[in-house]
Amino acid sequence: MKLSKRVHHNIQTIKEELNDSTDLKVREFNLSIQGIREISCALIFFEGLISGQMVTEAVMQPILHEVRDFDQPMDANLITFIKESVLTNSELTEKNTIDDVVLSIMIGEVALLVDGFNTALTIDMKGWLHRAIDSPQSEGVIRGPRDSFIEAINRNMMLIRRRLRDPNLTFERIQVGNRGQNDIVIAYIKDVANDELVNEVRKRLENVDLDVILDSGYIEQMIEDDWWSPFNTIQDTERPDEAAAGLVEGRVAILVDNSPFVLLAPATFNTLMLSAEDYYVRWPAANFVRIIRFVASFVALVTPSLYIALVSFHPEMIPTKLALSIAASREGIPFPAFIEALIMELSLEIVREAGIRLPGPIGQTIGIVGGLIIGDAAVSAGIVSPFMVIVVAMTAIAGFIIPTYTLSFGLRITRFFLMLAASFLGLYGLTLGMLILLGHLATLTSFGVSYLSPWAPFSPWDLRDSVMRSPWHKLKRRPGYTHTKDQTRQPLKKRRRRKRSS
Amino acid sequence: MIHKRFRLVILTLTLALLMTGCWDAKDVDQRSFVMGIAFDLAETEDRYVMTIELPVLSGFASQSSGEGPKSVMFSTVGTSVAQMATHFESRTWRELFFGHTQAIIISGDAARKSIRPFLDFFDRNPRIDRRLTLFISQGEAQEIFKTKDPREDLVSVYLNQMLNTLTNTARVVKMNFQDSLRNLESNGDTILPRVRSSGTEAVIAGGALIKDYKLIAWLGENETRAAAFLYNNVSGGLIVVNVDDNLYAYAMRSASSETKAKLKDNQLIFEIEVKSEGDIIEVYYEEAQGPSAFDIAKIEDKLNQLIANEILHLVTKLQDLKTDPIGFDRLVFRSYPKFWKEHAKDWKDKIFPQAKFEIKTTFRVRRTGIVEKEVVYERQR
Repeated sequence: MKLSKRVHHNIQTIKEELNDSTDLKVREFNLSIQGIREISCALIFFEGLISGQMVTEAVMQPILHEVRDFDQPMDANLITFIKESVLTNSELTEKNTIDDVVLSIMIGEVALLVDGFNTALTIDMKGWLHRAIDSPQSEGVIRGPRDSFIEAINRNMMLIRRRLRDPNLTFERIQVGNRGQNDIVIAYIKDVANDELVNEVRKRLENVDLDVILDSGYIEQMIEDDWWSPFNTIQDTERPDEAAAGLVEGRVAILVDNSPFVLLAPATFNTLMLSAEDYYVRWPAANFVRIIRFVASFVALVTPSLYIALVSFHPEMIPTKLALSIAASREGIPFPAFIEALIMELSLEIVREAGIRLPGPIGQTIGIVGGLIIGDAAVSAGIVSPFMVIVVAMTAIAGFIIPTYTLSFGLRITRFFLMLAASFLGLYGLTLGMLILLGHLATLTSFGVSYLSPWAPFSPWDLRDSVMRSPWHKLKRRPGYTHTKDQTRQPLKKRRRRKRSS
Repeated sequence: MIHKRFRLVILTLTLALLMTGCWDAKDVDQRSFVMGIAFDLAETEDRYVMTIELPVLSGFASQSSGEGPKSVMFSTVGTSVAQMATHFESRTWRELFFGHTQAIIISGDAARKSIRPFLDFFDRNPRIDRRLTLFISQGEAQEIFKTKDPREDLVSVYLNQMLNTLTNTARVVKMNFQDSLRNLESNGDTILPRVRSSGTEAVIAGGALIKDYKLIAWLGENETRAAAFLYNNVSGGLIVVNVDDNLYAYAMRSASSETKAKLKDNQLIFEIEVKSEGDIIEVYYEEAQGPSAFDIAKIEDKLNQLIANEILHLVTKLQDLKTDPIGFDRLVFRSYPKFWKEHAKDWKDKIFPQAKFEIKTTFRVRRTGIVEKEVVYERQR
């Protein structure tokens, strides 16, 4: 619908369009030009989305003071004059339709309507309150930057831009959500990221038809390759350095407004197991930590099922003294090993979930209470054996070592599946379960990249940054799985050419 | 059609899961760990007494008071091992579990009749830990379980660990169940470690010579040492030699032996080569003034003679008894398959007793300790 020339008419339509919402403010005023003419004008905006002080200082005052001396003839374009000579804002646009104006108002702009003109001037005055930049909550590091993304998308873009002063760093804005009209930004480095990847990301994002996007989690689940798998195939991070590193590796970052988590695609099992800190500490330390991390993730995955298999099916595989000691500690416990393990693992998950939900100070106590009850009382009451407590404690601690929270979810769910397999078939079942798991992981892809690369398909170059990380001097190329346009990060040494025999 | 086939696949997979799984699931605390088994002759003929040593589980819990017995013995009489094992199961609600059995002891008297009836049950059982040890006891076998060593709660565990330690002293042959069975199944002969009860202690020393599954003779400690050299399972041990009226204690740090079979003019010759390196760890002087210098070459010669004689003594004894527990027959089979084919039947009775042995021993003294002494080393060529 086109704007009409009458201000009151326009105000009426916009109000109707926005259902006369209470936070919609209409400031009507009269412009007197050289004391001869009076033109009625209106500023329309949502309270809270814009800063009221800014409206007064940067819009009302200049207009009221400057336009007074407007000496052009009647039909001259007052709007253009205001836009070009009066207002100092960096972002000003002229809108012709009601819909455009309404959308502008909704994203935090101020619409200026002037009587006699069927265009509106929208002024970017976004000034809502947002959280200050804080340190990351779920991806802490000892060594490395401490800032994290926040809910405001423009700040998030700033955080990335500050790290990559590269003219090729590109941000593309898309609006998704037929009700939310949420901003989504695709970020990539134009001469690094593979075009096909960028196009695929863009295509998938454009196909998302959800009414509102409240967090990047919505987008992640809508555009991933294998949405039925317990494993996530898109990485999420709240660390700007991680996002910047991903961009440099040729991956695409997806920023979603109102979400402090930025998505990185493609993501493989390998990339999800790496922490930003691995690149900041020296390589021997990084390798040491990475090996421990991979071992620990395996421990977190199989320890309970291994315990069930050995205790229920293969006690001859436990060293004699330990077997006796386990048998002694299990004496009088009314449940088979599987039920025992299930009780303990489930209560661990309950304590963990409760700890997250409870407000901070009480969250501490739930840890102590849960630890006391599970660790001590359950044992002395004869519900579980002390060895089971060790097993559970080991899985819990080892599980926390996985740097990506979403991946640890996948492994936690799989753990129960393996426990079930072990309780049916012992070590044979555990092996079967692991094979099924491996098979499943091998079928996963993330934007066409195999989830298990660089191991399957095997790519020797990418192995330099997997379980082991080569020193920076040796990491001269970008990873191969992203198929980047520019493949080198450091100049490669020139190979000595063989002298050609003439 | 595809749908039907798919259903069939699912059904087969489910069956495969249910048929293979679960049937042997039994938690550790539902099993009776049979730590040791002893076999004796019963008073009535053709019957045996089987005694098992079971741990008292509460004694192994972490919060245990440390008081009370840590193990119990059960005995029963029967004709076959399986039958006697079933007797036990009717007396305890737990299933007997042989996966952690450490020792099987057969009394000398029973072994003189034959050890064969005791072995088949264990040979067939896939869950037996084949690293357990088969002992022959001098005296009643179940008496061994009545000995109590304060350092170890279970006699069977004690026996098995003791045997491993004793390997370093070359006083026993280290034979686990698997080795013993292999020897026995190839020609019915073997040497098993001997154990006896001194009332309060179980003593492992010497060996029991088995011929055709029957105990025919005991071997003394020196004979056992020679046998250990032939089996090539000596890893240490002390040899004391007398040189010029001084006693030298030689501790082996490594030892190995190799046996080769040679056939010359239808005469079998076994070339046995023993090599060892070690240290002099003590010198005992009769007189106030000891020797001013070590004559290492002399010590080495004496060691070579001593061990060569011991080995020769043992093989002569084996030849006299017409038994081949070391497995020279396998060596002949490998080296001269044709000859073996012709003479396999009368190997123990004719061929082996007439074989010749050439024994070469090379003992080397590497260190003499940190006491400063002049070391003389002249090897006469």
